[in-house]
This record gives sequence, C-alpha cells and structure tokens, in this order.
Amino acid sequence: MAGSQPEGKNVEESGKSTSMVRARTISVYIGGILLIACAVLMMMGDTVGGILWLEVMLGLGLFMGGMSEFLGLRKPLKDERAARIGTLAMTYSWYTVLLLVSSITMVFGFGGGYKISMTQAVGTILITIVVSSLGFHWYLNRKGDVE
Amino acid sequence: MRTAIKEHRARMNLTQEQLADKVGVRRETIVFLEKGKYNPSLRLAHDVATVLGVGIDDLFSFDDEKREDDKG
Repeated sequence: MAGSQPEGKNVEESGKSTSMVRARTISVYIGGILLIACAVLMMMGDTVGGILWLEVMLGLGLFMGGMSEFLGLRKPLKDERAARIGTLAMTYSWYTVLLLVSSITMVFGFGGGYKISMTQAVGTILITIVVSSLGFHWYLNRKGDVE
Repeated sequence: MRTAIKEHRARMNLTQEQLADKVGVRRETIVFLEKGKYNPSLRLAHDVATVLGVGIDDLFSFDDEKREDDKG
C-alpha cells in the first residue's frame, strides 16, 4: 500500500495525479465540445466533407482518449467512486443512445413521410453521446454515490 | 452514515489530498467520505482505517445502528 512511501514523494505524486485528472477532464470536455460543434455543422451542411471529418477525428480522439482515466477505470487515476459513478453514467448514456436510434428508425424508417440523411443521423447521435455521457456523469457526481 | 475520518485525519495532521494518495483514491472520494455521502468498499474502509491507525468501527457509524443500540 502507498502508506509506506515517504511523505515527500506522496505529496509530489498526489500533485501529479491531481493534475492528470484535471488534464483528462479538460481533454474529455474539449473533445466533447469539438464533437458537438462538428455535429451541428454536419447537420446544417448535411456533409462531412472538407476538414470536418478531421475535426471529428480529433474530437473523438480527445473525447475517447481521456475517457477511461476520466471515469477512474485505469491506473494511476483509478478510483472506486469515480468508476462506480462513471460506469453507471455510461450505462445510462448507452441506453439513451439506444432509445434515440430506435426513435430514428421508427420515425424516419417506418414513418414514411419524414427523411433524414446519414450525416444528420450521425450528427444527432454524436451530440446525444456527448451530452448524455457528460450530463449523467455530472449529475451522479454531484450526488456523490450511486446505490 | 456518519464518519469520524475528518477528526482522525486532523489528529494525524494529514490533508485530504495526502490521505487520498495514501489509500489510492482521488481527493473527491475523501471529501464525499467525510460528508458521509459515499458508501466505501470494505477494502477502502480498511485502508483508511489502517492509515489513520484506528478500527473500521471507530470511523464509520450508521443512524439505524444507533437506533438498534437504543432498543437494546
């Protein structure tokens, strides 16, 4: 256990892990904002041409790259409370996206009258993934614990 | 849930950050533990008690546990 380490080293490592948590959080939020911006442009322009797809890739990299540490699933930022909250938030987020995809299929598939392009559908799903995962995480984190 | 972590941490002259680092969790977890808002795993409860040099019983108590004691 870390309790046997010298005090100075503890303080130094503690500072490091705090800044790493902050860096991962910033990475996830910047990636999320980038993805939402790209998704809005995709939906408005009905295209992923130009450098838009590169921006989507960058957003995905930032968002997904920091996610497992942000959720406390991987060392050295592993944390049981963050992991407990994070996994539930991701479960709720996944369920929300499933509901959205089901709705899109029902309304635009079987509905007949309405049509949506693939780009617009992907844009909507991207926004839902980012907003629901960060939203549920923020809400559960405020509560402090999940049963 | 009530905890005496804050008192024992102050006695040991440890900051929340230092205690978090010693037991391998984030500072926020210690914050919620001290507020009694987080129900820790047995492993974490044991680690915190070990670092603070007390038993788990000395650190955590539950409201319904007190009611049971009153009945007895």
